[in-house]
Amino acid sequence: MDIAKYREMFLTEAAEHLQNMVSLLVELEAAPEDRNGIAALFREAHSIKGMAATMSYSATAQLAHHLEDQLDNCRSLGQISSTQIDYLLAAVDLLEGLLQDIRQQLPERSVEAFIQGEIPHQGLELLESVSCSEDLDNSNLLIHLRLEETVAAPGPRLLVLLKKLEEFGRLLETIPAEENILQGEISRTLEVRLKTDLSQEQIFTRLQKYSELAEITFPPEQIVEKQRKQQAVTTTVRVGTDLLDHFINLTGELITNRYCLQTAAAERNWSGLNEGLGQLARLVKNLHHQVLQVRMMPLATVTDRLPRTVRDLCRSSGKEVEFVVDGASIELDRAIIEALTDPLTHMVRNAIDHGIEQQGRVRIKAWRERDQVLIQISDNGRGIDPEKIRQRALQCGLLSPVQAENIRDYDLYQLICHPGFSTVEEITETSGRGVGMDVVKTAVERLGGILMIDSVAGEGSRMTMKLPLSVAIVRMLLIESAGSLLGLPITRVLQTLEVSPAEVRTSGKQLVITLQGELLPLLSLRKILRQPKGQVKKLLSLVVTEVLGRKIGLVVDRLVGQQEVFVQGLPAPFDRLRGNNGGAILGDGRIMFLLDLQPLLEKRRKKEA
Amino acid sequence: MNQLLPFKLGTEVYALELPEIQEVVENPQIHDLPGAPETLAGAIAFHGRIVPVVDLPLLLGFPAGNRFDRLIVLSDRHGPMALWIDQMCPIMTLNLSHETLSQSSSEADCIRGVLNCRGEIISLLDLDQLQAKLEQLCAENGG
Repeated sequence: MDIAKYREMFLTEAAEHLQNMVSLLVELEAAPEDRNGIAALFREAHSIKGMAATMSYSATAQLAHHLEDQLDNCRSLGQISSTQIDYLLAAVDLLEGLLQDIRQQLPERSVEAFIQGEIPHQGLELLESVSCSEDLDNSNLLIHLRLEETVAAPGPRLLVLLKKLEEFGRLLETIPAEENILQGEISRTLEVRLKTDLSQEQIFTRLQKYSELAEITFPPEQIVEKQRKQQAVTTTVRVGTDLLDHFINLTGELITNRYCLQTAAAERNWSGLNEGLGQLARLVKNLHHQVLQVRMMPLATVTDRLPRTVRDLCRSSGKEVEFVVDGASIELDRAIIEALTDPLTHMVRNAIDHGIEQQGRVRIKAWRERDQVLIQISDNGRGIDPEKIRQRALQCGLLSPVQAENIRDYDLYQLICHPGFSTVEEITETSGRGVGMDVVKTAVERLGGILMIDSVAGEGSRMTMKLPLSVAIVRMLLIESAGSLLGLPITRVLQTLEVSPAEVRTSGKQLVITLQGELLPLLSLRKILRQPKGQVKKLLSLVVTEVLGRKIGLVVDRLVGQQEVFVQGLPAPFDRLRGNNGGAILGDGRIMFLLDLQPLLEKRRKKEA
Repeated sequence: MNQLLPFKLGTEVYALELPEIQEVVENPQIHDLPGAPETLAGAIAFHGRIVPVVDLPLLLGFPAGNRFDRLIVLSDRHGPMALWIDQMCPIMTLNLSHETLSQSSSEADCIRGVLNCRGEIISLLDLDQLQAKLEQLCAENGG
């Protein structure tokens, strides 16, 4: 039996049940005497218990059973108290922690204390932060040991070595695990992740004393971490059988099509070939459409988690917030949905933390406009004070006094997306730590979307994300710079134009032109990419776009045209390089890279500073 | 028996084992990668995938010589990525465990062993070390 496969299924289903429980609990808080809600909650806990017991995850089953008992009481009473809801939410958190253990194939954490009535104070978050810092900590050392072939009893020797290693620090992980060695697993190698204050050299000299060791090496840690990340990334998707049937039918048609084309080619039958190609185009388009269907997920996947966040925030801040979601059924590509989780949570937190004063409403609204999806987060709180932003921007030197006077409110609001920009004097628990709207804006732009902010002081603020439906296929503006082909998503391009060099003026050290009555700074793409200078031309090709909240005119060699392309990311570790967001292979075999201007310009700015 | 593909970097001979190699690409068209460090020569379109090209001599500190017109595309375990080299030599068949294989001491040069093959010194390229080196490079140039 393939345990791993069943584990995946268990994890996916259990996570869904937990999500349902959270939603039900938050709803029950508003209507504590809803018998149907309590019954539904009971059923969810019961399902988790059953599944966990089948898979022999005893701690998970035990906790789920405990919840079932609690809920059975509520069911007979016909109501649920708010302390019980708190308790149950904490239990759900603990269950999530247990699922995480199972996912990482660790032993399940203990649930005894919780069942005995000791509620861990924000247990899950604490645990998470601890494990995180341990992973990033530099004092982690990976040691690889191999025994001489002549060692007669490798098991006991490895145990001795483990004892010795424990003296150097704390053992985070060993392969094989100690229990397995005790149970008789034979291995001549031992891999240990050690948290220690000693250096590699110190450990090496101490281990060298053991003559039975043939090899002592310290493999680089990064590779191991990368493998882990990849493990965590794999997720499962449920696909309807009707879609699968579509796929198999399409595959059948494609195979037939292939033979038609082969025959036509062998007979040099041009009209047959043309007909076949037309059919192929139709089939591929159809296939593309169906594959995108599989990738689509409703926005509800993210927004369903938010009521809990709102509830917890209201609890900790003492505010009263009504939270409404409209259009949660709008579907988007799963990659977009996943990338939206953090930004949405952040914007909702912002709205409650900075927008709403005591009582108010936060609303998420999603709708489609042609091939774009708009998601709007609005609140009826105090709004953003443009004066405060102006002052702060002056302080940080983001704006010159002249600019500060003339800037439009719309452009001013965009400044809150500048990294490290915050007008909040006090840092609260939830937001105002300097990472915030810049992360939101970067995430939205990475998806090829744009973020719009507007606000009326005293009436509230509104953030609107304009997003493409799917990420894989994007409409691009192709540009050329020193022979390389680059692309910008059309959604990021405000305008393209050609100007004569006579229109270019200098303002300080900066080249500018006047566009619709505004000064537009010009930046040379060749210079940004550190390419050699080009020849002087009669007309300059410009792409007007927005970077770091400012409009700029990007001077390029040539505007090539528009095209829909299939974007693929670069393989790891190259995906970390700044300057591109992946690339696409065009019909003629050329590669076009997606230009990611922001990090390139940030780097330049840092160098200049 | 093991099959090796030896190649030159500067005046030195390196080698990879055949299972580590997916394909050798002739006359590739290498496309510029915006913002990439010098040691990354660009990327090629390889069976519908974008595969980055590493300028191996430059990365390992050899003087800029004549880059060869062929690239070695590594198997997926170490990639996908392609290595640009100076010159390729014919495939050799030998028994690695019989050859004098001395362990390399320094970790900086991406060598996992050195063999003496009829008077010629051949260094086995250590792909794990190479990958670690590239991860570091990309992290430094990451944003």
